[in-house]
Amino acid sequence: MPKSLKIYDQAVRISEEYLGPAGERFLRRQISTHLGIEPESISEKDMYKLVDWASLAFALLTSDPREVESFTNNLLLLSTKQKAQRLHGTAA
Amino acid sequence: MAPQPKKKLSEQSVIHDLAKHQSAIAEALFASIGEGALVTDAQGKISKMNKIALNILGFKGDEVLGKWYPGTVIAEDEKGNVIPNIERPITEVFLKGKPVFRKIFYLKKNGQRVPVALTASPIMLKGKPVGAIEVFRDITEEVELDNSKDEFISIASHQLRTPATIVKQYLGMILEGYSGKLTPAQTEMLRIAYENNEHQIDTINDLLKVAQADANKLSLVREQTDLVALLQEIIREQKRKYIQKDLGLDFVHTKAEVLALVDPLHLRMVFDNLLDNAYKYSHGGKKVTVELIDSAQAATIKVKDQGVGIDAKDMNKLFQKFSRIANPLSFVGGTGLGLYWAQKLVDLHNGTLAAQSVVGKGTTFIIKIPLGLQVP
Repeated sequence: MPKSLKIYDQAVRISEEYLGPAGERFLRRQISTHLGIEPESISEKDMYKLVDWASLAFALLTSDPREVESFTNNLLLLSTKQKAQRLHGTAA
Repeated sequence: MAPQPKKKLSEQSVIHDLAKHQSAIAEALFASIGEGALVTDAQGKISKMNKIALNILGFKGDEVLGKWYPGTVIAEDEKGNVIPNIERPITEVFLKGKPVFRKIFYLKKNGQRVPVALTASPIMLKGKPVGAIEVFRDITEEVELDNSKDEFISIASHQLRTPATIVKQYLGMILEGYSGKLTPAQTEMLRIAYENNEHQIDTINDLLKVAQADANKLSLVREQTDLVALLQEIIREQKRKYIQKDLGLDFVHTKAEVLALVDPLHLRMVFDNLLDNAYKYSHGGKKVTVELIDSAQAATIKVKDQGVGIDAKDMNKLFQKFSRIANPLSFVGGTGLGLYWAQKLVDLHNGTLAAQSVVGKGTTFIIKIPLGLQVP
């Protein structure tokens, strides 16, 4: 399975954890609109820009700032995890 | 060495003063724009709200500043349903990445609904979104005016049309002899009264249709329609009067079927109007041709007559309301609203209606309608 698809799948899982079934659609809109790429092709370098927009949109969906922080951090972690896997040759 | 630190300090102080100056301008602008404005930060909290916004919503500054925006200012739709946060304009801004314009209802502090027209935009700093700004105005008066227009249309349709229709009925009965035999003079007078009453009913109907369209109360009921079949039917219905006037009426099309997502009832009105005009403004012995040309995205329908034509100087008046252009046949009846109405209907289909004409040679009306088969 391509690395980039893995990132997308993981991002969808995180999004759905916080937003339920609407999570994937939320994520796909963010990626298409702000990154201008096919959602499945998202890579580690795209995560920061994605989070810039997704966190502000998410902040209007929940009044709990800790939830927003948690959502943001979990998405950003995907980028660092992926980078670490690549560097240490442990990526699938 | 000694002068350098002083120079740096002075630069810093200039930059600081400039920043303060810019900030003061921004504050003044924010406070004095003629509409309500609010700013949310990266956490969705209200960081600024101007006086107009506070007045519209009935809040005091300290009741809203620092509060989570979607929970403080509740938005509702026309039917009184709370708009989910993900569908609110300010959230849409972060989903679309660009300004969003909408008309919705806000709940004031006292629970009353206020209709607003708003624009929400992202605030960007060095290419990164840092918040959002929403500018909105109270449109209560506009909504009331709209409601008044609706009332007028409803009242007018009953109070103007009903008596005219009754007059038509009774004049008709008298002319048919229901109240006894008439003298030729009486018949002639009653016939003139009947025709003018018909014209009055047509005018009322046209005015009401146009008022409805102008008030944006007209909506299309689109369905998949075969334009070839629709035009064939219309032409069949018009043919009798054309034959009586010794006017030819041909339909030219290359395909057996052309499907489009249109409102057949309203599109029929457009074609009827154009064929009526072609009939009225052509002398006997001439021909009218309807041509249907289709491409992958749109259908073009041309209604070409060999009638009296329109002077170039009058072309810009053609689609205006109450426009009657002088020509050899301008004694024929009409309300001057037909083409205005036709253009409105074509516009609603996202199409175009144009005309080309030469005096003494004839006129061609060209309608272009998107097939619209891929519904967004």
